[in-house]
Amino acid sequence: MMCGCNVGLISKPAHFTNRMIPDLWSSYKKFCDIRDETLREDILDMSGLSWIHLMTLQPLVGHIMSRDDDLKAYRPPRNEQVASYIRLMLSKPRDLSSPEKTYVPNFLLTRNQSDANRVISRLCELQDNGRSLGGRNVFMYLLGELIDNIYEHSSFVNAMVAAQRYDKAGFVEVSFYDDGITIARSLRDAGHVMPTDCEAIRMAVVHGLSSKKDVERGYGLYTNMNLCTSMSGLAGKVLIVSGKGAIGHGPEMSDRYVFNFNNNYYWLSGTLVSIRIPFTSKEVDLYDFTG
Amino acid sequence: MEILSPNLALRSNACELFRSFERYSGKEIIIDFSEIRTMTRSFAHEYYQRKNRSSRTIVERNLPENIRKMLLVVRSTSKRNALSEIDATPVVTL
Repeated sequence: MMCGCNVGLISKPAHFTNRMIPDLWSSYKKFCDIRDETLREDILDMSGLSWIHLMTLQPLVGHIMSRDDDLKAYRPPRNEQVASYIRLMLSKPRDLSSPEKTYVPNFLLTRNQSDANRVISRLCELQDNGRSLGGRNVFMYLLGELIDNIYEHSSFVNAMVAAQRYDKAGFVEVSFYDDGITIARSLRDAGHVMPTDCEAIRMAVVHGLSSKKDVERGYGLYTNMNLCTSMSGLAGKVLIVSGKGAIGHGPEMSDRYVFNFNNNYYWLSGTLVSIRIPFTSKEVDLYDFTG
Repeated sequence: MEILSPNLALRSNACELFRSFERYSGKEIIIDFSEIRTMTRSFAHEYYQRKNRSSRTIVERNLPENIRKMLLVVRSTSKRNALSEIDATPVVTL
């Protein structure tokens, strides 16, 4: 299901100026801009892209997969590097075990969860088994919990995970997308009253509210957000977009925002979680964050 | 017999582990954790719940320190104190 796909012209809402837009959000917004055009013109126009991050690419792949009909036209990036990168990231990986590569191609998760175990291991190998990302224990924990969330809560049709290491910029980006029922719907189906989708994300992340009744559930997003973004943890950034809401968090004030989407322009059919972790030499103690 | 992966991530992996015990007839199951490197809380929680419900006696051997700690974490509910800044962040409607 694609939110807003049957709506006519979608008016572009006011948004922050470029100077204020945090980088994860700007990547997601780029997806919204491209999607808006596909909904209006039936054309996928990527010709003007000078680069593409995972937060643009993944939901775009999800959007195209969810369409009932074919696009009229596809305009690939004029920049050959970008076009080549997209082809690479969307290629079916013949062999996940290529430790010399700086990326893990967009991997479609299936209901066969042994595939998920393989991609978790490959994601960890991407960055030297987590050695410069807080240590193996922490990095595997992050990956495992976020993928487990997709299987436990989303009821997805399509779900994917991808990663890119930016050696010059000094960080790794890992992105998880599913086209499932969203965090808010998962909580509402469990009987929780959620006035808005962003409030649902906030309750899940900060207070560990879960669709499962066991009080010992609901630690996944909370622990991961804390671990990823606190200065005593990985000092990274996270953006969660789900349905009609989004939450961003990180060490800087500019990384922190809670958005409620009042119209279709920014809605996401599903959930997108992106984490950006800077390289670090320190080993983070996972048990400082698990309680 | 090798059943487990070195990195125990998914809750369903714990379910699969306990299903595999059905092949064995003994009252006691001994699990050697010496090759296990990491464990998520989700796996640990599912493992702990199934262990408690099992009619067999489950014995862990050669637990690495980080695995032992994770199995301890899920035995008690802990408070969530952090991330109050997210609660304090005002909502912007777009």
